[in-house]
Amino acid sequence: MMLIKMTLWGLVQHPRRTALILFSVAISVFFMEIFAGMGQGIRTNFFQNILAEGGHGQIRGAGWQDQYDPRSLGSALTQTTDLVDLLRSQPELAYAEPLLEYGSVFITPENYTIVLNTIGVQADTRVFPKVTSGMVSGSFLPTANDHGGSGNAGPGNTSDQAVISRALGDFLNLEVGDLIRLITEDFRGAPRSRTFTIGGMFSTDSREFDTSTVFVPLEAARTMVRIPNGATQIRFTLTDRGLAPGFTEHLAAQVQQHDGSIHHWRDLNEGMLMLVDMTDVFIWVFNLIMMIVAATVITNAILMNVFDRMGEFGTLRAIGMRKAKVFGMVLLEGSFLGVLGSLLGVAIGIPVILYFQEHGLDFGEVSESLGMGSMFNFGFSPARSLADFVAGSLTALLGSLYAGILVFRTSIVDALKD
Amino acid sequence: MLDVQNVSKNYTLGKTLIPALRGVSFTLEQGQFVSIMGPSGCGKTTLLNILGCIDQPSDGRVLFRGTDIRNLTDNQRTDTRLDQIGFIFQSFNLVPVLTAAENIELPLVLAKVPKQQRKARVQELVELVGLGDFVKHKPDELSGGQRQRVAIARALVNRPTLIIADEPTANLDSETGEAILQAMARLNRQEGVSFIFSTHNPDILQYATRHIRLKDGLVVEDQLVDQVADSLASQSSSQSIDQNPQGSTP
Ligand SMILES: Nc1ncnc2c1ncn2[C@@H]1O[C@H](COP(=O)(O)OP(=O)(O)OP(=O)(O)O)[C@@H](O)[C@H]1O
Ligand SMILES: [Mg+2]
Repeated sequence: MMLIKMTLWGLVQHPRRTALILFSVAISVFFMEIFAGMGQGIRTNFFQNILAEGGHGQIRGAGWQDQYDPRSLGSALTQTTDLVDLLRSQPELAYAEPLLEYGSVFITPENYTIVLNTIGVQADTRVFPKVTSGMVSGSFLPTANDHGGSGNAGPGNTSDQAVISRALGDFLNLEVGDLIRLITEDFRGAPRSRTFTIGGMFSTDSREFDTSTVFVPLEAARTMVRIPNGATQIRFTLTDRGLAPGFTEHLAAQVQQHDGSIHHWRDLNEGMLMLVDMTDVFIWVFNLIMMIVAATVITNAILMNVFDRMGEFGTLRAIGMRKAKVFGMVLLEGSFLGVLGSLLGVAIGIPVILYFQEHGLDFGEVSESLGMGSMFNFGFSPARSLADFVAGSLTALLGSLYAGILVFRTSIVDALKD
Repeated sequence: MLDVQNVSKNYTLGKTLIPALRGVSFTLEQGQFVSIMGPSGCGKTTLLNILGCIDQPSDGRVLFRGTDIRNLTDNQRTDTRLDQIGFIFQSFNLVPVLTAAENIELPLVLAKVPKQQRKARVQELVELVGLGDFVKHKPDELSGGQRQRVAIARALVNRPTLIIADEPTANLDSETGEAILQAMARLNRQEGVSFIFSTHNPDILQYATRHIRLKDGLVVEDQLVDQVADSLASQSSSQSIDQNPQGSTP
């Protein structure tokens, strides 16, 4: 009882020493927490942003990957309905949707022109959640029941709607309701022009995407480029993304019969995945270095404390305290500080992670250029926090083990000299 | 009770061998009050450390109540110190976070004495060394003399047969130093504890019943003091032990 009191009282009596050790443990655990949170966030971000938009897999035109211009319509799918039906007949499929993507010249009433990536989509698309949930004025493309449908109206009718971003609208001085014209080449290279009404404006967290994209109804796009039943890709999601490789392998031959090629997300995002894996390795290495630095700092602080009290330990041993007991005191103190410091580190770390999980951290262009959007959310994982807590406590324990061995090895005579 | 047989101790500093003790022999009887004198570096501390079982001789034997301390394990030596030997240090060496009473109690805790008995024994010693109301104070709230009284009480608390004091008065003014020696002398008579202390101060030699003089690691003089000096010591000790020496009053 008195020994425990001696140990803990000592901590109170020497607040600066105690604070130093607590601080070094807490700060180390805190940084391990934060970096783990960042790593978790990168992963989550990848699967949320990239996979939500890119799907678990895609069907593209055969030979798409060898094409010089990725937006060329030369390898567009022409048997889209058959392919979508094929996908939908599979039990693993959750959702499939065709897109028709091509470049076109965008002309405003004031005759500003700009080249945009034109995406023909179904009005009820699920591929662009950031867009459909990010409408800031007007609405996304009208579904068939909202309007009379596109293209059915007589000539000169402006019922075909287009959706652009607020940023582009501001830049080109456009408002909802304005008429614009899109000019493109059809699949044979002949120029085609079509008029659209701005039906709505959106805003996502990626400025690059916002200022380079215009959405039009899928049917209008097909009419423009004169590929009925066409698509440049069919994106699909499965009940579980882990099924994707088997799924694509299973369907490869059948898709080929319809002049298509099927790819899963690992294939499609090879570069990104490598980056994510590299980030993981980076964080792992960083945490390792962090641990080593932390262990050094913590051990140092504990050693300082122990050297400071060497005379006291010498006295205790001289008056009859057994070596093992002195060792135990050093260990008790170290592990107490380790547990307390680690708790403190985790306690400070968690709110910070939760804050950045909620509000995100603006990484600006860096992550935007990777297609992740500039806002970057941390990920909180209780298991990670527990691991960091244990790591911090263990480090302090190891440090005090080392200090305890030093005390153990010092002769009483030498200890008493201090 | 303590048999020192041809003890020598060498220290190595780099490659040079420093002989601190070069064959010291004497026998200590129960109840003796021994002073060890000698110039600085003559080996007083070295000898006391060996006698107190906190250091080992390079050569020769020390028999503590018939047992060669070299043959004991570290834990056995530790237990011997706890049960049989008390230490009084030059710089008091109290545990700073414990109160005076707790410092005195500490060896009892280590010896696993039940709490009730501990309290009674601590109270006994507080009265014996004349510590009064200072038992609740931490060491840094006590004067040097008071601290050394706490140290004496701590050394005595487990009823040791031998108390070893290496320059117990060196950090005290001469008046307080004498009061401490008087207290030690009285306890030596009352409790029959053997004391062995080293000092540079000839003034406090009068309290000892036996003088050992060391020089260059050898005993050069060893004499029992006659009864006159002994009674002189007892007289002055009974006078001043109960009045607080200067520096101890709050
Ligand atoms: N750890 C050590 N390493 C090397 N030499 C030592 C060590 N301890 C003591 N000595 C040497 O041994 C000799 C005796 O030292 P010791 O401390 O016993 O002397 P002392 O009589 O107590 O001196 P003082 O009166 O100054 O306290 C000295 O020459 C000293 O330098
Ligand atoms: Mg000395």
